[in-house]
Amino acid sequence: MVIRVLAPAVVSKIAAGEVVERPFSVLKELVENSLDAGSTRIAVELEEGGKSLLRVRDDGKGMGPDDLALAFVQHATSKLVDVDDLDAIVSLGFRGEALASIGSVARARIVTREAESASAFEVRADAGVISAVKPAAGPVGTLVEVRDLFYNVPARRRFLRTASAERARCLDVLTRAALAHCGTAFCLEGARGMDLHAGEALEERVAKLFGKELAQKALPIDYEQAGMRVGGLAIDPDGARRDRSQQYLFVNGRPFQDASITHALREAYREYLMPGKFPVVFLFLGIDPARVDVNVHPTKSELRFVEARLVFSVVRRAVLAALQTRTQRVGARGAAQFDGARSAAAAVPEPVTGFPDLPRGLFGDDGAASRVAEARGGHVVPAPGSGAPAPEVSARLQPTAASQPVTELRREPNPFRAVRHFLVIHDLYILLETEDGFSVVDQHALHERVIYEKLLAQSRSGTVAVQRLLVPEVLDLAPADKEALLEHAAALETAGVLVRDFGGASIKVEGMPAALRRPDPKALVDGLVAELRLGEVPREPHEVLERLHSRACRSAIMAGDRLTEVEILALLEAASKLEHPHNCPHGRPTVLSYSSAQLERYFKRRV
Amino acid sequence: MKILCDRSRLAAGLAPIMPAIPVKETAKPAMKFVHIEAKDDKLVLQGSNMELSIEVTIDSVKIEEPGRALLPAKTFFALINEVTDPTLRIEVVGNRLTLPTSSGKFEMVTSSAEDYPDLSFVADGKGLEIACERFAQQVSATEFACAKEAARYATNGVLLSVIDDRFATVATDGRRLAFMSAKCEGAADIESGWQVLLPHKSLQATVRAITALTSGQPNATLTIFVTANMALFVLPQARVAMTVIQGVFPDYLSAIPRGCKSYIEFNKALLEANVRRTTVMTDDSNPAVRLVFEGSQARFSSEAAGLGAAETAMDVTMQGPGGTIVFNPAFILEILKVSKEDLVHFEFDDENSPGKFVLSADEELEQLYVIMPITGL
Repeated sequence: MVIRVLAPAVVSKIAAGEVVERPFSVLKELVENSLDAGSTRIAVELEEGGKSLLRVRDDGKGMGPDDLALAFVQHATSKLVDVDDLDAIVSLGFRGEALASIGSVARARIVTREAESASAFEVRADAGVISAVKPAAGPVGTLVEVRDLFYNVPARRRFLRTASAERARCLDVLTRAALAHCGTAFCLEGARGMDLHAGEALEERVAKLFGKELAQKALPIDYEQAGMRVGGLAIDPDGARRDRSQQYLFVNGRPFQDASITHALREAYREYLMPGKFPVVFLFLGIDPARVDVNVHPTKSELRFVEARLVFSVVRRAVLAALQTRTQRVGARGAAQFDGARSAAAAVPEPVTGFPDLPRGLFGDDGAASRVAEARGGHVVPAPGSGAPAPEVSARLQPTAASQPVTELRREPNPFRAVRHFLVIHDLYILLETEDGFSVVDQHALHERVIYEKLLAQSRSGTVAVQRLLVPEVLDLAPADKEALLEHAAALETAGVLVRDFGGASIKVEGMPAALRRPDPKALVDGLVAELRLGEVPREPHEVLERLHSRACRSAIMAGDRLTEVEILALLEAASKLEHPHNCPHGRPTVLSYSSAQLERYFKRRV
Repeated sequence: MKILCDRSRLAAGLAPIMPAIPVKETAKPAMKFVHIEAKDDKLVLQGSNMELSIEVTIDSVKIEEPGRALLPAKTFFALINEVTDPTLRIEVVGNRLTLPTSSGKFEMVTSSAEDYPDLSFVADGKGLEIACERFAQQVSATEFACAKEAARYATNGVLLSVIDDRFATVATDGRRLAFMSAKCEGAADIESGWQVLLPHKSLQATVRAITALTSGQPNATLTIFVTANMALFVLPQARVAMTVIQGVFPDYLSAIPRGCKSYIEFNKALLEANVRRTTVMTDDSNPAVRLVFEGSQARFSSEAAGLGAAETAMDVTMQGPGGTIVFNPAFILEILKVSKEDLVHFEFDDENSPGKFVLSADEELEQLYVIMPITGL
């Protein structure tokens, strides 16, 4: 076998394969360019799901003939100048690969015009062959047309999916872009849902893209800590899905995927969701560009945070803070089950209003070029297709010293505070007459929550009662697990779990929190080891306890346990003081409420 | 099948079987029935949940037509307890039971006896003979301390063992331990080291059955046979078989403190009253009562956030330096519940070491309880 240097045409085709995978990746690159050019309107047309034609038209600042001549040249970009720029990338594109890659695997054409230019200019690329720049007719902005994608790479073309499947992926790309850039209008020809106006609020976008029902369940996220700002919308646990497909993550306006952030979301929702359910979240993270590396993969969908654990913690806290503002929705869900779809619609509570204005400068309507300018100390690099200088950059990117949620919390009403009478059903459910209707309580789930919150309070105050074990529970662990566990022995001890080295591969558990009526040292240790394996190290003792007890809090009264009247009253009294009374630590609901109005509608007392 | 039998004896024979009948739905529907077989002037009743099987034999029954049948256990038991005729004539033809009485006639649907599994009551090897009363006493005095959660399987039962010439029962849930041993003549014929771990629910049912079947017979004895998987209890009129727990019971002997620094003697009634009073000011998340021993006084205190605090005191007899120790009050109260003595002895070293309650420590009977302290408060 002889080693040969590949021909430039072959190299460009191979490189194109990394950036341009399918029509949606072409669309993603073109939309990013339009956004970087400060466009206020982006219109997209697709034929055969983008396989035969993909056209993006924007009203950005356009390009002059000199820049246009370099548009299809590989590694030609307006967004970077030197290697230092890579440390603080804020524009969506920066690699200078996209247009060159597209031009090498399709028939592409760019028509662009700057505002001050008398005419537009056009350049074409066909399988890597770039034409001369010629004058053309066209409005201010840029039009990019990509025809017959992969026509010269049959192996790639064979792997394209059906037109409808490709169109769906393109729609997803536009959805993500539209969520991140509410200041820009988006439209996709033939897609009624994708007709979005410039300047819409995020919740309006969510309502248009995902439906009003979902938007009504949105809880605003607005949190700032350690120089990071987290915004967006967390959808009420009622709106959870069976997959993660509606978790939209953005960092500095850039869509991304990150297992750690996904995990942070799961942790934040852990007490609210049953296993197998995944939260719906639109999360925008604002962070100093120097603290995140977006140059990890050609598609820029993956990134690395310099302080991954800190980001995890901030995101988790931000979403938790949002969830604490839940409004009463349980009654609405009850009505849906109780009164059928018709009354369910009527029973949906008033839409949540008063969303705080999202930090638009950071997440929404300013152009990415502005962020480039900020990162580069005000030096704006004209992007292909862009013209206007960047607007003033949001000061929200600047680190702040204080660590505090900025949202004023709106607590969900505690349904156990105005109980009049009760009735026990099947030694499992407690029926409560409340001020405005009645509630059905799961005695086991509610008691779990009561115990859990008491344990947390103890842990936070540093007074966890530890029940010493008669015979220490000896457990064998893998060397790495053992080391990681013992490293956190002090935090565990503060949380009431006494763990000691027992030589070899073993550890011994000498004590457990006294409040656990049915302690299971093995389950506790297994749970903690699983957390440590994920790299999620709880830093505070109460965090340790929170994680352990949500897994192993099996001390509650069980279904079928017959409670005396005094015990029920004590349980309700304790429940009336709960911070989060609506879910057990494992996410199951504790109470289902019906209002008098719902009953009146059902019994036709009110038409 | 056609029989004539005494109603009260039939009811007394059925009662001990009922704990073996599963309450919830079971994969084997036949287990909801009691198996009844009439032959040789005897009526043999069997009930089982496959982990626990109980068989009771009723003598002197007039068998007009031998046979066997499966009767719905709960319904049949209720029926026999409701009718008042001293003698009952029970006839089973096909799948129908007929019971004519002076107050009316009852019919009940039965099931085919062929559906019932053959229950194993195999007596293998040499059995341990022990007085029924003593056996029941020892199990009742210890079984409450065993673990209730399914995860810690080996501590979900009571360990029966022979130590020299003594029969011992011991149970622990890892936080406290109950131990009782007594001289047992039958133990002399058994190899030292004989032991078996039995599930506490089955054992509870067995003790109830034994107590009911030997009521009014203070000298009644039973024999325990143990195989690898089963334990069999044989009484004159009954046999009880249960599956054993496979697992390693903790090394409990090393966990019993010996020769503690402080020795306290309590009046049981006063101790119970003081513990109860201070328990009022505890809650689920903080089930702890502090005991402070100074001079001839014991002080009890408790505190629960958002609830309040309590402090009481009583006179005691003490030897040693005293000190402080914190316990879960429920553990103390459970011990006092099974105590028949007026005095309770307590020993401990310090707040981090186990405390030992001794209810009896003579040659004939040793009854002690170990409770691990609560720390961190």
